Amino acid sequence: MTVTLSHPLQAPTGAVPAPRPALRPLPPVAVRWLLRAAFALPYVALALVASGAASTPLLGLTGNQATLERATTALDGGVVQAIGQLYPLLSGLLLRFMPFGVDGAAVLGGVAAGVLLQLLAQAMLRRGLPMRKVVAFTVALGANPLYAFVALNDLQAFLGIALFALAVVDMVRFFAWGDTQAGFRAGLALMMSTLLDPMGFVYVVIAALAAPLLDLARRGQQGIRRANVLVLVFPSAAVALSTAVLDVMVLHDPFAALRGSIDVSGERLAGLQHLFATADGLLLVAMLVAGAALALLVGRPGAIALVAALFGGIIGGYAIGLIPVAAAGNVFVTMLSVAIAILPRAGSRVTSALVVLLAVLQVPLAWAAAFQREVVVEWMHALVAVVAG
Amino acid sequence: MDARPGRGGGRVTAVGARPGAVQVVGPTVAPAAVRPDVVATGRHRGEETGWRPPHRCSVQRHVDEGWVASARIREGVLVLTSGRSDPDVLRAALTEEFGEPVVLRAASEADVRQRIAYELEEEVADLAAHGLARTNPALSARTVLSRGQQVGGVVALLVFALCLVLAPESTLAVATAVLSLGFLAGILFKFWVSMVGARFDLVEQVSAEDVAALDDDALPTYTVLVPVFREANIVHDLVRNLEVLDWPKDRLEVLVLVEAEDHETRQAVLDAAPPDWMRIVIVPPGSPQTKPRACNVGLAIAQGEYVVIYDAEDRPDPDQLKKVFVTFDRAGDDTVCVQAALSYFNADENPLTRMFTLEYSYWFDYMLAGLDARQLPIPLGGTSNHFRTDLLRELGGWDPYNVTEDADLGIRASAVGYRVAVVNSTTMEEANTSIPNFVRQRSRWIKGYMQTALVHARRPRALVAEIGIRRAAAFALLIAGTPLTFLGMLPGIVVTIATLVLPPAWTAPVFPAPVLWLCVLDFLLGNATMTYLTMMGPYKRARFDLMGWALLNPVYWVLHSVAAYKGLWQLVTRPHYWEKTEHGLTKTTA
Repeated sequence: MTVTLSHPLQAPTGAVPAPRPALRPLPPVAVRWLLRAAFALPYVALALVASGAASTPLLGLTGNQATLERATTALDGGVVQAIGQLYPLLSGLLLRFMPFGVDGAAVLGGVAAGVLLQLLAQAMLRRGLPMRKVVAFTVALGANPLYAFVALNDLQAFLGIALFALAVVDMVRFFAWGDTQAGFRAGLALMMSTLLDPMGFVYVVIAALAAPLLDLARRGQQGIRRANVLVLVFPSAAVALSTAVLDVMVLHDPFAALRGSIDVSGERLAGLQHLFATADGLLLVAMLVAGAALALLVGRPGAIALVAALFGGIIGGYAIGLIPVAAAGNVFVTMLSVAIAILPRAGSRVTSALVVLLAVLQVPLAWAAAFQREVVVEWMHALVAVVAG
Repeated sequence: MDARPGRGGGRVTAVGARPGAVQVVGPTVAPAAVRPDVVATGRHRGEETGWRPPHRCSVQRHVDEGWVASARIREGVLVLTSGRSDPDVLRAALTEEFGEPVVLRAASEADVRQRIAYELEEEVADLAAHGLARTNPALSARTVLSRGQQVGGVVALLVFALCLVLAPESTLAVATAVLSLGFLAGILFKFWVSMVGARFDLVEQVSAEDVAALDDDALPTYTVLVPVFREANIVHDLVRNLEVLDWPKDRLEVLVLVEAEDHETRQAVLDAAPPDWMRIVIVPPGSPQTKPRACNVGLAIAQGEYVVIYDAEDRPDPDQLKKVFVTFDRAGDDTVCVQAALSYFNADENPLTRMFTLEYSYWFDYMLAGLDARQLPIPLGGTSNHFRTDLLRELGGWDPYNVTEDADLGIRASAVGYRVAVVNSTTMEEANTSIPNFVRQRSRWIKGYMQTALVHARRPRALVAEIGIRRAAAFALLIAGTPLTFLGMLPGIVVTIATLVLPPAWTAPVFPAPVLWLCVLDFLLGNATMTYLTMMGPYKRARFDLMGWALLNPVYWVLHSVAAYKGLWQLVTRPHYWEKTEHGLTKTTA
């Protein structure tokens, strides 16, 4: 038999990406961990201070408290109740079995805050961004009460956001550098975010929508974008499907987990309405505008759609109960983290200077927003009270 | 003994030929060695006279010294020599050993070696079949279960039965949980290793520039072994597939290993008019009639510093030998084997070939790269594994009793501290196009993994001492874990469906509900992980059109599970039976 072929038999060359500046090498592991520890130190110190602070009714509604209550109710009520109410699984287990409860979760959040800052700074440096820009964005993200508040008071949300931001870093490497491992890491990070935070599913959708906006290293290869999106969303979809099957088995309702997480109430909608009628709302919109401006400055107008989707997703998530009532800073932390994750090397010096300026402007913006949010103000007062003795 | 007409002048005498054995095609003896005016007597050349070489010595000695007693002629015993030994010294020594005159005839090294396989048929066959089992029985799959394993197995079964009687629910719950976790662990291990491998999919280990920089004059002899059996329908492509190999042909030795009974294939090779660097080697009849036994025959006479196995339908990248040479050159002396990737030229033929291609892509492009990067034991693929010949001989060659002799050899190499590396070169093969053929092939592979796991688990403490706990765990998860995960697939499906369909009151007496739910969840996530892993397959080769097919992986695994049960059954009933995969079924056309 003569076997003739529909394809030529050359060795595959598909994985060769378009020429692109190589990523800078990573610093030694010890250096990286020292940096993470250094970045984490102030947040862990704040968490320890906060552990001595008196609670208030409002502070009792923060994410960590809500998650702990949910997990305790679920796990103490038998197996069936656990399966029905434990979603999101990982954050529930984490809080329920965390030593020192919410205080322990705050310390863990502090550590995670340091790690995320280092990882994002590292990602910027590896892409060849100048140090001044790296410092500006790292300070903009980390040196404000909103970042600390989310990390220390809503571990579930913070880990979800952190994983989403890291997934976006890997998405960029996947698309723009043709790094297969990074793509699968991104898919797993998104899946983990869905297991930690119901907002994870919003992030997965946003990641899938953002895929067409990213530069592609392996141009001209048919079906690559579709394949990349499948890699990003499959693990989360598989988790959702598996959870649904389990819910069918146990509770005879495939959407039990979803129903347990969603809470559309008039109170929340009214809260949102009120929010956008105040300075707090204006500051939120300012963050959206800043994100859009950054996208334009770096020559990525398509990213405006991503910023808008992110903003809408978070606000929508709040509206349907995926974010606790006493939340603050989620929009700021998510949008700035993602901006850092996709920030390219700027072209001209003027553009570069404007980008740095925009980063620096985030600091007062975040502080202003922090002072507008009642729960953050209460939290800061409680901290000051502890320090003042 | 049956008499056959000789090929040369006169009637000659067969020595040692078995009844019924027909070996018409003998080695090509150098013309000088068979003069028409000589009445030659030797085996396979005519009537039986009872003549045998006057002194039988080891195959290895013949190979090392480069001579073989070929026949009796008027002047004495005709000895072919490749010139490795000083002729005068050799003549004097052999005359003394044989006790009669010796006539030396010059022949090429290849002719002498081929003649060795021919004249010392019984020794070669014995060495090929029993060499490893004799020198190191603990490493041979000739015995399926060692005494210790038999006793341990019986004790374990008795304990399990006792537990079932005393506490059926708890026993089933624990057993289910353990199997379930094992299922997930095996899959997660593969995923982790492939993720490590994914870091290197853009790395070109050996570039075209590296290959171009090689000096052809400095290249050593390379032996290509091509074991064929009942493959007359595809061997005519063999010449075309191998002649593109970029290696000096005067240092390329292709040995086509044909079973003695397989006249049709042998004739088909001859009909293809093979070039002089391609020779047919008749594999003496014997048991077990397996590919590794044929390869051992080839190994016994291989001249090359390196040796590689290809199947008859294989289409290696033209520069594969050179890339491997560079890889060996860069690797340490402890690298015994370099494995090239395998892929399929008929990937688009049907859903099965697509799934096969996806699976091979993740395995060879990611999994093996990950094992290589983490220096874990690498089970070799069926073909395109390139060896340093001396180290391969030192390892004892292939185990003819193991039906995945390649996987076994990779693990055996690791167990004695040798390394297996991978190279960025591909051999295109024919993917199985039919489900029955696929199940047959997989049942052999899975049975072979079971054999390999059992062989290397005979001395668990020694294995850990030799390769360390990390590699031993990797071996357990990969070699033992693979058949177990496939065996777990069908029961997993049954349990999942039963749980969804049957009222809980029916399943509760057998399985406690929480264990059952966790097992089902674990089963679903395990399948999802494996599907996700399969999605890695298209990336290196940019075959994104195959991506969606990865979603069918659970169905593909059902076939594996069927094959696993068939393999398990054969392990009990016919442990050394070589379930032949039929090639040449593809309808791929331009």
